Amino acid sequence: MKISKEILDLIETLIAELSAPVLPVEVENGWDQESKQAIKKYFCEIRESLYNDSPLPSLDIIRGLDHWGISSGDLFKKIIFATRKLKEHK
Amino acid sequence: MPSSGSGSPQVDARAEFLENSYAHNGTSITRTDSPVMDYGPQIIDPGMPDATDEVDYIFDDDNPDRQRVHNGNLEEITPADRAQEAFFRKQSETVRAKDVAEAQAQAREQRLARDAQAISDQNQRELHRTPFAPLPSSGSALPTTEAITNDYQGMFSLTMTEQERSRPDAVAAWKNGTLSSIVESGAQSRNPVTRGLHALTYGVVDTLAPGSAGELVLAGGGAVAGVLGKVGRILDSSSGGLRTSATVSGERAEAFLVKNGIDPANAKSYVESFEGSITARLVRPGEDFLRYTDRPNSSGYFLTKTHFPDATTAVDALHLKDWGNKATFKQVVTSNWRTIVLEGNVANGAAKQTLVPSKNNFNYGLGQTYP
Repeated sequence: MKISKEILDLIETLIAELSAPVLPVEVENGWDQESKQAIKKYFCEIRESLYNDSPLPSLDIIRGLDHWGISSGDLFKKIIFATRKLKEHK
Repeated sequence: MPSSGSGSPQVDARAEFLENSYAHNGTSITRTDSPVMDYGPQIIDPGMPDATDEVDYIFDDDNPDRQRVHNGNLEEITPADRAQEAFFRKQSETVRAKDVAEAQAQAREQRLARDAQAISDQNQRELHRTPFAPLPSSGSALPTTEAITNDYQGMFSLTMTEQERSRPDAVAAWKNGTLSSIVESGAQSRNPVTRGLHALTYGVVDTLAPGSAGELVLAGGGAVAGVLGKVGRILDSSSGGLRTSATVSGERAEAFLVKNGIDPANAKSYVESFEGSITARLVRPGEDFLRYTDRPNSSGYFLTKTHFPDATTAVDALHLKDWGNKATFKQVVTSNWRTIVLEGNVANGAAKQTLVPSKNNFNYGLGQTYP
């Protein structure tokens, strides 16, 4: 599976944002350090799969985030956008 | 004399037993010990054989030279035996009548109580027909006719394509189908109040007509709405014959979510979280759902009706493992408003999920650890 640079950049940006400390605005949207770490781990696995050309994990992250109590905010939107792009390329 | 039949096996059996205990057979009586405990003082000749004697009384009114078998010996029947026979006959008939009357009265009481309970249960079922849960006993505001109309509009939008909505014949068919459903549902009701409510709901639906935007509107305008508003609260206490669920395509489900305020960029992902068919269902206030999470005071759009025995099972069934959620807490989530929800199987999971279009229509309880 050939993945565009755009998607790879998206994933890298997300991982960087998820690695950063939790911002107040993110707390308002349900994020905390534990959930950020959990989602970061997920995107690291995606990145690895992309580089190794191995099957991607499930992309139904919207439910995963929802069960963390996260369903709004910029970071949420970016994640959903990235996974949509991944689905389109899958 | 056969038992009158109370409908209760125990009581009928007792009545039958009592009758058999004192049964006549031609001119002979077989004395058996009565199962009845106390019939007041009895006058018995001290010389009489008691119940422990093995005595068969053989009487024949047409033959004065009667004989009896007493303790294995053939004996002549004396005038004392005649008196004894009369005594037993009278006593047994009196006792039998008393016992049978008691048993039948008890059977009547049980039958009446059972019928009353059955009617009460039936009324409850009709007033709170599934999948609707009973209304909260107090507190929450009840929706008006406007809300009921919105329900129909929602179902109309979900079950009719844009093309169908522009065709008067298709709209008429949808409306006729809904009206037929209400009439049929009302006709099945034994409760006159429920039948009345169905008739009123029929009236609401009958005034609906397609508007310029392809939605249903109250054709009678404000006047009709005003009249119907008075019955809105009553209508809410019954299912009102609403068509409460319909299978919808993914495209329609996505449009429904967008219409209800979900960001269009996210709506597709929500729909793709389902596997297989998606059902749109009307939920009434007071219906309970569950939510599994690691944050006990959080809220979300994904609910379920399934009670999982432990967190591991919940994580697997709801397909949460990939995102690190351990589903440590279980919340009870209760609808506080009439809402259409989407239901279906969890993609890559093993449970059914409910997707709510608005968290504001639900109360999220504080999560508790389980089991």
